[in-house]
Amino acid sequence: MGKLLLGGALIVVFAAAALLSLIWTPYDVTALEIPERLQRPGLSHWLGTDHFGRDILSMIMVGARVSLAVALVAVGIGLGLGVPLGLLAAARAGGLVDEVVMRSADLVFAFPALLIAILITAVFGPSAFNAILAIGIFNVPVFARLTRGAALSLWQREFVMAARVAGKGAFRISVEHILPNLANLLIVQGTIQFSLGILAEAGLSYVGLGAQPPTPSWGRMLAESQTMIAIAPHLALFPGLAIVLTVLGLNVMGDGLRDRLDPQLRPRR
Amino acid sequence: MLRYAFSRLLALSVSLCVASVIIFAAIEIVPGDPAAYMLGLNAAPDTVAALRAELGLDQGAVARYFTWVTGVLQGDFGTSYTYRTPVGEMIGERLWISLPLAMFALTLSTAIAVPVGLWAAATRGRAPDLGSMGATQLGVAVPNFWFAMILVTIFAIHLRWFSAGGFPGWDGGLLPGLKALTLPAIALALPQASILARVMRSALIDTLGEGYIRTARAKGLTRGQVLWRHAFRNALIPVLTILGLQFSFLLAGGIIIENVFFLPGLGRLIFQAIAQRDLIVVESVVMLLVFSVILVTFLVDIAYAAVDPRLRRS
Amino acid sequence: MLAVRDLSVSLAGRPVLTGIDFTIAPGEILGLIGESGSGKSMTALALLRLLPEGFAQTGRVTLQNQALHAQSERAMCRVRGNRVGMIFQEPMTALNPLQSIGRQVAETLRLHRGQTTRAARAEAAAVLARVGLPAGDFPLTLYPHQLSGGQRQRVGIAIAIACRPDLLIADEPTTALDVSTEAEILDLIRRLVAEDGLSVLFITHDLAVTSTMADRVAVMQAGRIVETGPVSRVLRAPQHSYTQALLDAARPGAAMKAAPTGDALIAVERLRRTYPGRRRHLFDRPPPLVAVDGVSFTLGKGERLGLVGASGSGKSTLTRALLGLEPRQGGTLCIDGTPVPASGAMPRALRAKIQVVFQDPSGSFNPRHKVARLIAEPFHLHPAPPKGPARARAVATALEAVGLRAGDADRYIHEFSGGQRQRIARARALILRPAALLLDEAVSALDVSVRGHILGLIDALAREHGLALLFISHALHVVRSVTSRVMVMSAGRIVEEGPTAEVLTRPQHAYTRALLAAAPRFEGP
Repeated sequence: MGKLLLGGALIVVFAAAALLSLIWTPYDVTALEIPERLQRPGLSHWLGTDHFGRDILSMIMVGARVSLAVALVAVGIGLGLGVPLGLLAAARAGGLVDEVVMRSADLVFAFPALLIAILITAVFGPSAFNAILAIGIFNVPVFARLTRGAALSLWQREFVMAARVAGKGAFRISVEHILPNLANLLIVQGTIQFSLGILAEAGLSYVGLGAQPPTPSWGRMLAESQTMIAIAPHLALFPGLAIVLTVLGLNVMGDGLRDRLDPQLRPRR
Repeated sequence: MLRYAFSRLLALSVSLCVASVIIFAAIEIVPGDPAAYMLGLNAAPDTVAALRAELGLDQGAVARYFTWVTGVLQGDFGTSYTYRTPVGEMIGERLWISLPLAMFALTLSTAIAVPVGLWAAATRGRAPDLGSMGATQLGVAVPNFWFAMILVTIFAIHLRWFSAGGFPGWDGGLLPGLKALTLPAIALALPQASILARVMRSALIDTLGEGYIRTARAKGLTRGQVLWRHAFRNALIPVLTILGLQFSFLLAGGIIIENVFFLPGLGRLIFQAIAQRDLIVVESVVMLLVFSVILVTFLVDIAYAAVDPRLRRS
Repeated sequence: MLAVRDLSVSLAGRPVLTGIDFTIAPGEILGLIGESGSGKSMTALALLRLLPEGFAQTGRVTLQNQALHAQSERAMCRVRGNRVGMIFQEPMTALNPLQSIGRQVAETLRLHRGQTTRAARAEAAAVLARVGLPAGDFPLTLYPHQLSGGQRQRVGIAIAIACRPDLLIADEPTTALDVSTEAEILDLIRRLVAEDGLSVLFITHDLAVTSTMADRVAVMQAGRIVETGPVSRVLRAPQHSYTQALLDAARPGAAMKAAPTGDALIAVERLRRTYPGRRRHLFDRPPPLVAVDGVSFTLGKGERLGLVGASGSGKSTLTRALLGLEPRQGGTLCIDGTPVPASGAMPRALRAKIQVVFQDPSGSFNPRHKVARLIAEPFHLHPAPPKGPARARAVATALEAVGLRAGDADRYIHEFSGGQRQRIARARALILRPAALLLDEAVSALDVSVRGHILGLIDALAREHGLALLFISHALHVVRSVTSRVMVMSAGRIVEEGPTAEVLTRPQHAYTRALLAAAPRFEGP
């Protein structure tokens, strides 16, 4: 319970900051105030300013919006495509559909998210949308495999047999009996993929494959801070902390959810 | 065993074929005219035509694919458009940084994770377990490139134990090269070690609940002996899976870390190539990385059989 | 040899075992009997001080004047496997899958005798030969997955007796085995006891096994020993009411008389079900695995038929094929005169005629649905399913028919006991008023005291609705008192079929005879 609260509180803080940034930030993140540049954290700029005089707190708020949105949509893609594919594969276990879905999943695993992103950006150029696509594609086989594995064992359960004896078809059984019993598992995996998505987005925007200027993103803030790390370490400190706290919050919340939703889920991973 | 290896080898070849088709399609077919794309909007039409001829774009896609694949199989990756040098040579040079870095990080990660996982499982629920699991929870959340920046700040800028970046080359001997790779390898390894230690611990704890562990205890083995002689090897199977996955993460992570430390490895190469729209280089590096990931998957499959006699049946 | 005084175990302050007292003399076999969950295995683990973490134990355990309860963990390690050997229930999981059997047996010897690897291996070979696994046929380099369940259990026994212990603890050593293997393992244990003068604590839930193995018995219920005495006295003249209940439940009832039956409800002709074999490589065309091989029978209206076979004999596959859950690769299936296509696809009206009750009373319900929704699920097959209040009334009637309350419809399945779940399973199966009910090991998971009630309920319901019943079970004694005709299945075929009384008294087929001979008989007074 404590874990759920702690993790949840961290996420609520960042989510609130992200939402707030839609209507208000302490300073305009696109305005360059060169005289104000490289200020240490203080009263007027709580977390200091960068080499263009932009307010770090404001940038982190907007960065939270980008990070959370990219990771969330990527999880949505993974769930939206992976779960139906996994259900389908399990319902037709051993058949051609199953084989094709699972072999494709294996194949996608051979392309780490970063390589997918590189392929996409090499052709379409970098953008936040392409980052979402790359992370989302990587999430699809994760959810497809998880869903198939868990659904397969549910298909062996007698309550599914009973539903088949009651004349229900594969589609209805998948929706009425399989999916509700997978919900906990998917929620827990969803938080894990969400946190991995935050890390991946940070990595991609650090190497310039994510959201493009002037939209601030945590990863690019870190990239830009690198050359000034000796004179202005706070530039690297705060965006890094933001990433760590968000990911930590999600992971701790995922642990808490797992403990709370289903004790049976606990050991295996 | 042989038949098992053969069937895995077959799976490997199939994966490679399909992966190569995907990469080829993404790079050479999706953009429409790669030559025009590579040269940008302001290119003169005759330059584009020259490049088209050089790339053999007048041929059909299928023919080009087979030309490319036969070339790659013979070690000929084509010629970089921007550098005018064979891509194979460029990759060969860079590989001698990226590969040792990944191996170094993998070794470090395993060397840290296995003892920590064992220790945590042995002291389950008590202080060492809770402490190490708290630390790994944090380790999982830290982005490796940020961790790298922290390491640089502390060990290169303040303590001056290491240089902040660059690579002296292997010609000066093994030690200077390894020293230059140490901070990058630590930065790569620690987050991965956190994941691996958690997997090791939970695999051990799962295994400790098995029937044969009770048998072993009833034989008179102590807790420690049971952990080492019976649980460890059984727990290795899930750990091997993660280790295989980690190699691909380390290669990919290496691409980013190379940027932090200004290491002239594959990562730098591929980002320069993206910036210069040098699709031939991008294509070759991605293919090489995917190949290594698939190869590692194959090696992990073989390692399963070495650990688990149930897979070895002829 | 062993004296246990006032042994109690608790988990987080909640008592699990209370005041366990018993003794075992040298060379004596003490049977510890009771139903699952009564604390038998807990007692065994407590003797060796191997309880899982969190359990606290008090009381005295003395092995030949050595106070085991006061020993250090290190000293206990020298006792375990050396002076006390233990055999476990599940031979499939009790051996380390990654180590050869020779190494696992030798490990005990190296540990306690300090033998070299070579000497220990030689001795391990001798021990394995003693338990019926001579090195000529069973080299030490075999791995557990290369052995059958019975052979693995022999390895488990070899590990337990390698160091010639004084006391052997056998925890349901034959429960997971089929009957013919069970008899061999029991013989082996008897022989070892005679040869080594072992004392044995023999834990089982099976009175029949107890009566043939033990010298004395202790009866356990809810963490206490309620009765102890010589096996002949306790099983003939029990003093405790619980022992009496156990005996009543285990005593075979009179076999049913063969009854005249109506028209064929289910008619099966040369039914065949195969699975694709495991492909060894890409272009392999493996021979199919035959699960059901040319089975023919009919179930008449209102008839009660038994189908008996060991696990893996194909009876579950046959059941699923009858229900139209799996395709057939050959033969015909007619339900009430209507042929069912080979794909198994049945029109709803036909499906509604046959319903099923599965073995596991908790696994056959979706834990996320309320009882009302669970038992109304078959309405899916109804051409015009009742809605609203009519549906609620139908659910209430169905619940009351199986002895539950109408108000139970709003509860979730986890709120019910095992016996109540079985009742709910029947309510679901009967809500459509089917003509036949298949009972797939439907009482196997129940404790004996509950089993009697459920069998009585089935009997009453069948009479009331004129139901045909097909009892599917691995145990002959379960079908004995509730069926008039029985079929015996082995390796996918029906090897014998006839009136229950006749098959049980004058079996014709060798397999049936083996089943009957191997099943330890408990005749009672």
